[in-house]
Amino acid sequence: MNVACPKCDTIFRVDPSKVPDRGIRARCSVCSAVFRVELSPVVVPPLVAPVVLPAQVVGPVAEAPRPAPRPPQESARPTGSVSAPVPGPAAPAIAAPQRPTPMPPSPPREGAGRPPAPFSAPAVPPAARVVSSPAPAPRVISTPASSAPPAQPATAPPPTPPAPSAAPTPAAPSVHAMPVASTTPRLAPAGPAGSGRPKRINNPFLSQDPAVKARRLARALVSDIVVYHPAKRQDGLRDGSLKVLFEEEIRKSWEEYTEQIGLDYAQSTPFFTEALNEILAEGHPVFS
Amino acid sequence: MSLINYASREINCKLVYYGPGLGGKTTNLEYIYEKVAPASKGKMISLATETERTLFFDFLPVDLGTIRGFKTRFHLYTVPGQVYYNASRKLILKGVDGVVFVGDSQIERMEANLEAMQNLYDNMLQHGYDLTRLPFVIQYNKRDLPNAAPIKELQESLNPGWQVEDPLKQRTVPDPDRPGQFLIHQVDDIWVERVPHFEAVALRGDGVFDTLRAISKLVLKTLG
Repeated sequence: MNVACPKCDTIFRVDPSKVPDRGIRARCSVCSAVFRVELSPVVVPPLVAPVVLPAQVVGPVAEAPRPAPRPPQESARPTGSVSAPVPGPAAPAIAAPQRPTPMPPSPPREGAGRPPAPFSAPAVPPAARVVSSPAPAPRVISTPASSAPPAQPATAPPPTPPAPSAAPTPAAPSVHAMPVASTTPRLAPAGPAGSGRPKRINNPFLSQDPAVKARRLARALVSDIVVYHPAKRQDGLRDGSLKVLFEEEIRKSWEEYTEQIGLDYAQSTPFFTEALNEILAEGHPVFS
Repeated sequence: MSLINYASREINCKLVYYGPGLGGKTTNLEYIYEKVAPASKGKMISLATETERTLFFDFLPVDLGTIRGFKTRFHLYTVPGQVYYNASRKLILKGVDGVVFVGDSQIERMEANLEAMQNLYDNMLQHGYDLTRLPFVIQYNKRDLPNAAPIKELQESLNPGWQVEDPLKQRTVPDPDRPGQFLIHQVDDIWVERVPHFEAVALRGDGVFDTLRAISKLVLKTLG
């Protein structure tokens, strides 16, 4: 039978005899997501030409083996010499506060310097498919066409480098809008139209559309840049020096973006550049 | 997972305040730290940058009374909200007993809210936790700002709910804080569950303890 990873949509061929009646948890060998695999009467024809390696079966507690945790990089050092509690399982955390640590100052935070940062929220491509189960269960594909990732545009835009060069591209007008088009919960049919199956709640956070995910991630990264550096952004807008001023922030955001969605997909879609132009550059085609 | 120490008769629970950058997570903890009696709290630890932005996490232990002879101690953590600190966020979630999602009500931060919520679902799943079965509340912060989005829209986007599969849970549960609203109810013959939500202005403390009280109650309920 075929099983789709709910996170990266990779299709795996799984020998049904390896799956007990009560189901089993598996780890995707591509993105390390953990999900349940259950026996299903639905037989699915292979969708993707070469079938990748079967998902790795994991134990009861599965932590996805991501690349070694990257220590947060910040030019500033933490306040105080801290022997901090390790925020791992409850046990080490509990012993932590016994070490005296200076209290940080408590100035007004998080409310100050909120910049007006209007940005446009153009319509998002419709979700590639409807998720039938709200639980993190495996999805057995019943409609091959609906599970395929969104088609790439015929003319893929050029890769977006961390420090883009100036080349004017049309930008969407800047407007206030709630980006809820792709996320508002909807009652959606669980299966193919007309299948007669009951409708299900579509919780967008339990589904994975790569285009929606990539676009939202790009916009959130750029929105962070704006909200964390309001004064610098105003300087950049005024002097036309956004690219120079934010070179470091854009590079770090681009690295996180490509790490999460993959370099190929990042370079073949315009989401990151669009977010820079629409949110950071207030709709001006500064980045390309 | 909550840690029960029979020798010292203590129950230790881990609460994580999650959400987008600059949403008010640290402000929540600072307000709690300020108001809780000295005897009931430990030292607050904050790993922050020079500009007072959370670099790794904040940590605050708070004692919340006694249950059946066991002292309950809650360990409150925040995470760094900036998107590219995901490795830290994921690490801090490990062993979590309850989650408070602190959303930023400003319309401009809607995508950051959505990304943070998605990131929470993803990281919980990667730890093997089911967010739909764990104590979880949402706080909509900065309600005092003129550019705050309406609660209805925030709810639709960030608290869409999930289907209740367990027949034993398929019963109408009113929202105790909002007459006429429900945490579990039927929509078009489908049982839907949403998590409790609270409006807050964390800088002033509005809604901070309502949120903490709600998540604490949910966590204590899981202890049976």
